[in-house]
Amino acid sequence: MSASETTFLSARQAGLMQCLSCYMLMAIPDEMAPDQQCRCPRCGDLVHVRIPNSLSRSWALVIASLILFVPANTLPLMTVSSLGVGQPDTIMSGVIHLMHSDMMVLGLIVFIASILVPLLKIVGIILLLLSVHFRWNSGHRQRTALYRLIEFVGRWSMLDIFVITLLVALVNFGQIASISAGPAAAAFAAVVVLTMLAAINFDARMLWDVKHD
Amino acid sequence: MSDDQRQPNAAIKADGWLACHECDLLLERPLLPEGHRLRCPRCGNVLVRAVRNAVEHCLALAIGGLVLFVPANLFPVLTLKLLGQSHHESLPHALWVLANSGQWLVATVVFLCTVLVPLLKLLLMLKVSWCLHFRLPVPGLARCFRWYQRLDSWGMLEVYMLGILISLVKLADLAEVVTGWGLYSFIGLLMLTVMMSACIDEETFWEAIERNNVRE
Repeated sequence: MSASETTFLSARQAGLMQCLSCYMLMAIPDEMAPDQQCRCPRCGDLVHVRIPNSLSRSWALVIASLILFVPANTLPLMTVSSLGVGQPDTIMSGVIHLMHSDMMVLGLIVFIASILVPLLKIVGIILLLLSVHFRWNSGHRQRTALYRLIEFVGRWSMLDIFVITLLVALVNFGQIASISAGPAAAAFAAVVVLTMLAAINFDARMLWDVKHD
Repeated sequence: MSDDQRQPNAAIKADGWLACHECDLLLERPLLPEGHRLRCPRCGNVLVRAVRNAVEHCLALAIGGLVLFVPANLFPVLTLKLLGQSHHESLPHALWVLANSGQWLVATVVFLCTVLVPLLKLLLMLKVSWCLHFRLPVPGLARCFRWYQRLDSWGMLEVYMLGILISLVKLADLAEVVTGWGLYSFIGLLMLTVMMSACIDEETFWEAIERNNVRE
């Protein structure tokens, strides 16, 4: 650790805590236990030194999303029927179809957006949680950047769900051609929501706490 | 942390200080000129963003957004023409079709992310910036702005826009696709909400809300 880094002082060391809604700093009350919270005098939200049970909440949410990731990828996502013949497609079989029909780039985009990114997001959150558990004392900046990336990417995974919604309503010509959503759609939406909640519940300040103990 | 470290620092007055909300680093609060942003020197997180006339900008954008919200949701976004049949589609209709095909869970999530949350965000912002601009001491402003912040990441208009574009590309070689007024108003609404999130200067808003409450 360089000399300049040792002079960094965290708000908690200085006896202060911050409201995560309005960013007001206030003194930690003497009688307050680490997991307790009180009301912010400015905005009325709950204030805590660190998000209570942040680790267990994030773990629970990320494990749930990992479980739902399986049906999201193995069950059919949508069924395209034309002239009465239906073709149920999972995410992966859709990608393979695209690649076989000479749309390599589009197939690759769908693969990255629908399979790789959700999986890497889950793996990323697990990595962050493990790094806090085992008190890794390096790469704080990189891990914070990873956290920020996961938080930013989260909402974009909803893309598939929106496309399915539009296609189901638009391609509705009875026997000639129609598209219907499959059971994987609900599982996929749940994976996206759960990973977003896991990221929100993860207190990124825990990544840095080991520097100050 | 040893006790002797805590003692001198416990006397710090919280006013002149600022903590990074991603790494908890304690910083002295600088005077930030308008149009500048302050980044955490340790983790790089943007801490404060000073925007000129943030409240007035947000008020104007919220009003504009609410005006465009109506046609964006009522008029057809896309129309598909195939073998003489044509299908108009507006977002509420698409959700209705999806919910009726048994996918009510997905329909609910899409409804929340593309209709309800964006609408609530616009209404909350309208109330907060209206009251701050006209200095109306209305109670509950802090709660409104808190909810705005909380809902922020769940409004997904830009993701939905990309979804429209992808559906357009996918359907283009299947049938004739015509874009409608719903799409144009939607693009306008999207631009206004993106501008609004760029204009929000949380620090200024919270300070203004605090002053507003004191006057009560």
